[in-house]
Amino acid sequence: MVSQPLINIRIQSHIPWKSDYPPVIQVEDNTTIRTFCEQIGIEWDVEALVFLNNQIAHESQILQDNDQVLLMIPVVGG
Amino acid sequence: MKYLRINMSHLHYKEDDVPTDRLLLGGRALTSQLIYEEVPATCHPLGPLNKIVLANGVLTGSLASSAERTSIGAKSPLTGGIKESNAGGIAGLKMGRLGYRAIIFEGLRDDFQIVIIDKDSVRFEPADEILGLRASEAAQKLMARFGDQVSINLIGVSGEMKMNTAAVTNLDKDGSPTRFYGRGGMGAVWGSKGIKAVIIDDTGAERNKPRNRERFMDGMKNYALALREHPGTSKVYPELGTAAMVRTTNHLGALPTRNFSTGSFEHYESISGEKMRETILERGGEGSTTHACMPGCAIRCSNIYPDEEGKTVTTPIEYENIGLLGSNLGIGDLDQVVELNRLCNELCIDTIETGAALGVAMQAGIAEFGDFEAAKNMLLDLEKGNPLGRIIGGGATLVGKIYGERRVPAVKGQAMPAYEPRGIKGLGVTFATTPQGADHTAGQTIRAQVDHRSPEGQVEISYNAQHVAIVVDSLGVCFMASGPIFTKDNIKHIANLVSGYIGQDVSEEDIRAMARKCLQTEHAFNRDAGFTKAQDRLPEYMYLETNEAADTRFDVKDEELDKIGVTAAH
Repeated sequence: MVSQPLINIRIQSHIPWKSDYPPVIQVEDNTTIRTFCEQIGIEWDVEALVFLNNQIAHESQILQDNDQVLLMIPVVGG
Repeated sequence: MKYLRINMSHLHYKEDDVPTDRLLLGGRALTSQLIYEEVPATCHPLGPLNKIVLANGVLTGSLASSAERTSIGAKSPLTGGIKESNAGGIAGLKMGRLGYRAIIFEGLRDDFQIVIIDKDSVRFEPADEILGLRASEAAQKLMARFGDQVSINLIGVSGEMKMNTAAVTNLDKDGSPTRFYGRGGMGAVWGSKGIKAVIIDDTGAERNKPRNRERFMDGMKNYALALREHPGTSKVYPELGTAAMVRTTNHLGALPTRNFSTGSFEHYESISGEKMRETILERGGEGSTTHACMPGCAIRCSNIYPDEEGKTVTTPIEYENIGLLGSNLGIGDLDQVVELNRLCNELCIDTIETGAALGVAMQAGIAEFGDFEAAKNMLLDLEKGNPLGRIIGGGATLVGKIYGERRVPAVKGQAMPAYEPRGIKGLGVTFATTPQGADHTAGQTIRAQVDHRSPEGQVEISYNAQHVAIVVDSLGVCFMASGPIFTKDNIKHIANLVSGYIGQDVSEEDIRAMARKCLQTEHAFNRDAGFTKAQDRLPEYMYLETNEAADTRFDVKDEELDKIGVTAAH
């Protein structure tokens, strides 16, 4: 089995209890944003509002080298 | 379970049993049904034909966590349409213990009365002693007179003057009169009927018991588990409250700034939930970063904000208040925002409508954006009933009309809460199409993992969210619990909880059907009141001008809005 090349994903979290990430995480090429989140312990559409390059991410988006993922607190307001 | 009808013209009352086929109608579903059936849609909101329905949610009084909310419904003087506004606090628990699902106020009077309801009777006393007082002082006098174990629903000077911004408040579990039925000018309708305060004394009443304890406890166990497992209710709200939203909306370009002219504020960090938490912890004293407004609430999203000496300034500081009284006015000092919030609480006025009214006034040049003293003085004018205060107290739309300002962030006459709808278009759809006027609790979409700046798909998201809102508002459950309830099919546990409590077999589909019917009923009332699709639109400038922070205009097509608005066949 041939392993996929690795790409660098920059990550920033505004969630206090989900902030212990290195600034850059390496993942295999062709990884979706949803898979990436699950790999770093974020349950999709429950534990974070996820941005990819400053836009709300769609679960099937394929990550590209040097993409920026931003995790925001998932709440519905007051 | 009973309905209590109180005629304020003649100061008499009667009770009726709740029909068994209406036990699943509570909160918003009940207020809207009764208003639709009993209030002529074309009546004057402050006239004798309008009614007030104070209704418990289906679960209110059951002591299920975060489910002690009560609703007030009436024809709104602000929107001219049907309106429901709900609050936490302790009134629902007391009402439930007396066996009342709803209290319906009818008639009209010129003087003001205190209505005292206990397990044996309803009586009336003149309210002269507390007229003109700020809410905290009035509440203290009422507690000194009626004891500190009663619940108190109260209007302020704004309600006495029948202002469109007038709210109704009730006590939190610690006796603070700061749990508001804020929206739609419900306080003005109370004022028109001469209701200054309603005291509910449950002394001697027995605790409510579920009809099917085993089923109720099973539902309760799973519901509590859902609250504990969801990050919003287990971590976000207890730690940061709803103010956790500031960073998120600012990032989305949806934090209303300087009269909704854009969606990002340069001082957002200084009014963020994180800053608020840090300030409260630093000052200590009576301050608290987490606080339950209702007995037994596991979410505890409220807080107590202290001054530099650690003394309580007010409670709670919520996201909406920060957005409307902070960034929307160009004010980036948290202490100043809190002081405006405190004044709004004391005058019993809706922080959202008032913040928007002040924003429109600033846009019109009455004061500079960022001028805290001017904003405070306008609230003091409101308290005195001066001409400028009366104008501000009339709400954002009235301010715009009087000062010739076309940029008014309102729909159906009601100001938008703290979400710039060009940045979160699903909420724009909700603001436009809900029968309630611009109201985030009528269909919140910010949590959806979608491109909020795209017009595509927003109508469907909003429509679903509008039904979710009705479910929680009708069950008496806090809106903050909607995430856990609608995650992983937890709604089936809620159906179990309801079934066990009322002793009827209620399915998930029954609950959803109740919500659909409520929305249809509310639209029908508004159609009868003369609403057309012309009212199902955002302000024109939001279609024509770009929100630079979100880099977009509102571009959801009219025909898409009309699929779910007042003229749609639901």
